[in-house]
Amino acid sequence: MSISVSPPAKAHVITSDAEAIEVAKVLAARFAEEASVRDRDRRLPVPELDEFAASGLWGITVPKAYGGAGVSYVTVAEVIKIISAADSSLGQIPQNHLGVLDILLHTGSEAQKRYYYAKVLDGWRFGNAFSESKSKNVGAFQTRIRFEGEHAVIDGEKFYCTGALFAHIVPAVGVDEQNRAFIAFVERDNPGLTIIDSWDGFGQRTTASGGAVLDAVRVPLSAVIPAHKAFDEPTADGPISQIIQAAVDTGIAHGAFEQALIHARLARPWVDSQQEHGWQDPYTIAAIGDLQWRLHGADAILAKAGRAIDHALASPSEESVAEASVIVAQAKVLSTEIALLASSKLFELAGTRSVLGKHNLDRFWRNARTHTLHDPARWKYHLIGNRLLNGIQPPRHAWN
Amino acid sequence: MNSPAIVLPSQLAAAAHDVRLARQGLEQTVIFVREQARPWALSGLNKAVDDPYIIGKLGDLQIRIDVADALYQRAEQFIGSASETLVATAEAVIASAEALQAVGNVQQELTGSRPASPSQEGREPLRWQYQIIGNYRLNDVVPPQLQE
Repeated sequence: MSISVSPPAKAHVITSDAEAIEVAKVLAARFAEEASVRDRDRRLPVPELDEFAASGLWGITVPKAYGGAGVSYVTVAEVIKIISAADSSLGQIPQNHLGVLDILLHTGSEAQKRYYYAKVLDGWRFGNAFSESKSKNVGAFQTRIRFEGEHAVIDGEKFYCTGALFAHIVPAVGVDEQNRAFIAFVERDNPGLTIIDSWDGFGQRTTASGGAVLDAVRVPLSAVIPAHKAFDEPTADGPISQIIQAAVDTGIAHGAFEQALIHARLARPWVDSQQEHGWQDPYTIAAIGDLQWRLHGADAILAKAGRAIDHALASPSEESVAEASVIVAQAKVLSTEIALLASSKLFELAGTRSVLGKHNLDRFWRNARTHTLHDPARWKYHLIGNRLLNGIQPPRHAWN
Repeated sequence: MNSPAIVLPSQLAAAAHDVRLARQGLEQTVIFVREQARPWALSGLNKAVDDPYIIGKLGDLQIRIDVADALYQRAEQFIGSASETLVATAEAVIASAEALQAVGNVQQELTGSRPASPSQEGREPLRWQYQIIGNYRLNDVVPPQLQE
């Protein structure tokens, strides 16, 4: 299936953190209206994405020196959370776009930064062709990049390419003969690049996280950045990549919790409770209290992680990056827990009527279960415990 | 009935106390594991500090304590109505009590002893903190401490 990508609409340029939050709230209210229908029919959010990018939210992390607002990562996380509460597929789509903008900051040349940041402020969207499903693990890449004079040539096969279908530029990771990772900014219509709309997961259904085939894709050297350097040296790139994951999941938890409040109010009273209304049930009330404090806890740690990232960006060091990794890992664990819990408790508190197809409330659990698999939460407890017990700094890569 | 002006700080102080005890308990457990714990003979490990399940449990406790601390700070700095402030305090009380319980359980398992329980004097019952939060959020009911 091929999808034509509309050329970038001239984007608004957001100039402050407060404006970013306001814009996100307005957009989220609109995105919420048809989120359930898009999920049910797997209708890809084409006009919504155009509106999302045109709002300027895809450019808020462009540094001030390059004309952007250079907002705090507390704000970035809040924006992604707000959008994800309305539609978590839409919240996930800019995930790699934002990650790549940070890798560009750390590893691009001055000319490259000027060129690509200007494109982003103009409304261009970056997708990604990073992950591979056939390599030994997520950190291993089979896609190769060869340098030939003034050009680089990339060959390989990618999967989980969130956003690529709708992107104007598809940043693709390939490794050279020394197994060092580079990112090539491949334009969507570049010969040799094929994006496949093959994602049929049961959650995050409209992220179009399909595949990409790169068959002798040729780009000028000016379109290639040495991405490996973002991890050779301590940079905030790993934590930045991760906080966006945690923000999506925190957003799903908020969306599910709001529905739990609505549908628990509609539930019939249980016969043994001797109450008139379901919402008077003492156990239901306490269960809502339990969800609420956990949700606020996840919010609080997410914001703390944003501050730790701001600090690591301003003063990069082994220590500041490790600290950011640890706090982001906490946000990842807490957001995973509350997203799964809230989206499941929702049904318990609302009763059997809440599982009817017309409500499509299962989308929250399907989205939470799917998106939280990005990287396993069980290794976040390990990362945190190993630093505490053994003083071992978290390994630096895009998943920490 | 206590006036909220009295109730609120004492409940928050209890939360702070629990967070402090939880941190101490985790610290003592970490020291014990480093200095005295032995790996399980059949684990194939040479040192207890390499035990993946100990590492995971300690990481989990660190999360519980840090989230309790974050909710304590949130409650302490909270600006809002009396009801919202009291609900924020209830959230900090729960988070810190649960963190301390979790630390106690792991400390018991890994070291064979557990910290002394904090005095419950002057504390509102933990089980009703969930109700206060839930009834406010679900049903807009003002917390009982603030009702006439």
